[in-house]
Amino acid sequence: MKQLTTNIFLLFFLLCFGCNKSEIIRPPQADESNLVATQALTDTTMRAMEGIYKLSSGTDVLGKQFVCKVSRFRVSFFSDKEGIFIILKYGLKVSDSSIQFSGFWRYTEKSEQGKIQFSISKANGATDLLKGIVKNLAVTGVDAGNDMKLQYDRAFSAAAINKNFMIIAHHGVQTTVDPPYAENSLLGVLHDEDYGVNGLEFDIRMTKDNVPICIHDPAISTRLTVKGPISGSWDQYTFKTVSDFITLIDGQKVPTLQEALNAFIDSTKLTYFWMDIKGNNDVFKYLEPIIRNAYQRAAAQKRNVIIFAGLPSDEVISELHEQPSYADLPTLCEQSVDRAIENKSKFYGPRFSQGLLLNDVAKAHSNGIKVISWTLNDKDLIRNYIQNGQFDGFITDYPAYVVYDIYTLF
Amino acid sequence: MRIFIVYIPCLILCFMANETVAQQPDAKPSKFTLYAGLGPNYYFNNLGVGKDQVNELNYAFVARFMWEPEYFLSIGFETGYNKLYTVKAGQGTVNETHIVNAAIPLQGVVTMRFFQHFYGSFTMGQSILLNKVTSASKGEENASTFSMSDFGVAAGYKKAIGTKWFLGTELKAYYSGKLQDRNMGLVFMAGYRL
Repeated sequence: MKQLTTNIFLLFFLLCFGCNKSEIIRPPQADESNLVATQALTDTTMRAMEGIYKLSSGTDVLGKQFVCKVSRFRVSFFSDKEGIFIILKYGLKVSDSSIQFSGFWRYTEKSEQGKIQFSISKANGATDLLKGIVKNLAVTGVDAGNDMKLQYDRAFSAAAINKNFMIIAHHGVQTTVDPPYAENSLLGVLHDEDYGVNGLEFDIRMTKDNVPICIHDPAISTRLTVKGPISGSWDQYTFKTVSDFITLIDGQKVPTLQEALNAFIDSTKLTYFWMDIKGNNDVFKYLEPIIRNAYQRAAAQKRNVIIFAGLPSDEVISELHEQPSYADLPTLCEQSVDRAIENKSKFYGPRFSQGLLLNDVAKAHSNGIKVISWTLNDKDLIRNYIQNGQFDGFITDYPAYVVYDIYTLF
Repeated sequence: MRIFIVYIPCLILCFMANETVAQQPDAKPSKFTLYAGLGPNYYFNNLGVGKDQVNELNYAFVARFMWEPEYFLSIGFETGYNKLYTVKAGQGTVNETHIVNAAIPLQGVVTMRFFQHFYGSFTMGQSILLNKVTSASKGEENASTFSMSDFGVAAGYKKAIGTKWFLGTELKAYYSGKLQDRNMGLVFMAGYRL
């Protein structure tokens, strides 16, 4: 009797408190006072400052060595310390010829974050940077009253650049702990580039009226959505019903694949878009016109993009074969390198737990197939796979680790 | 949780088999009782979307099959129809939509008698969540899904009427884990000893 009571109590406790879902924690609203009346600079100009920076003086609370990358509208620093990253808006202050930065820093595996301001004075190389000269460039910053100075150390090595490593955001988010945006959301598409990735992995499901939407779980759940009046699986509802009654946990709407691709092409410089096909009947029939339109849209903007469909199972491969006209569009086979060759996939995507797979990767490469391992989140494993593997890319929730290692290990 | 789906019905069947065999020599009265009940319930409205359009007052049917030995504890299986809440959205527009949410529990029951007529019960298992969306523009959309970690607690009163029948009532709280649905109902029950 006592045993039964204890077991019931334990079960009740687990049911009530066993799951603790992540919350959305937006980046802090930056103090942009230093950006007032500054002139916009193009990312092409700012790209000259990409490279490795070392802390030359001041506090090391955010790390001692940083990788600097420039995205479309932001400059980002990736630290050697606990995957800390810094994302900054920028502008040219004409009055003193300085470049001002404002933004936030955040840990990769903790939701701890804060505001930060940086600047490059004329004396520290701001004017030279505008001419593409970075030899004596130094960035000074203030974090919570502590000064720091990051000195430009070196450009990225040719080996690192030539790797063209694919860093793909898992579900389009940048962390599993209290992420800044809902997964598979348009805000993720718009901001992921700032977090160091060059590609997105989005989950694709179909609604009852055959609209491909971006959502992971097979059924409506409060893990991903605000509680609303409908329940069940996504393919039991029309897109209109989903749109009317479902809101993602951060208030966004569930995007259609079309909307996600439009944002990906029009508003980012990202290259890769992995559609993780969750498997619905005739899925490729409905995907094909959307993907072809997306390629046309990208071509019109002279954007070089690769949109590939994941083939995780025999069922999805069968669906692919039901739509022979899809054959010239790229796919990623997750099953084995042989099946990737057999299905003429451009990519092979083994699960990380399968190991380095050196022979399989070599076989894939000899057949012109690129290999993307998924989903790598462990810091040590990421470093091990980069140093000892031959992969062409990773899916990760923690791109800051990958970016730092790719540009500092080579 | 899946283990309970298999384990609890098996346990009940084992008890039933045991009882059937045990009853044959001396023809003891049956210890199996069927209960059926219905009553109003109130939904604890925790919706984030459409909260203001929810009708919280609804009703539930309950059916319960119990093995009730002479001990304080008895066990059984419960099902029924628990209408959780309804929503009316876009009233008076072309997009007027009516949504009905209900749960069909498929759960094991443990009941403990505290006093002569009073008992407490704990139900646990899964539920089938039913969702029906009806709108003028889109017609009808019917959906269902399983909620695997559901439970309920109840406090009740029952009284024997003769040797076969029972009448009673219970205050019952229900929780469905899938979408964190919670309601409380007052169920009027009738039981028949098999």
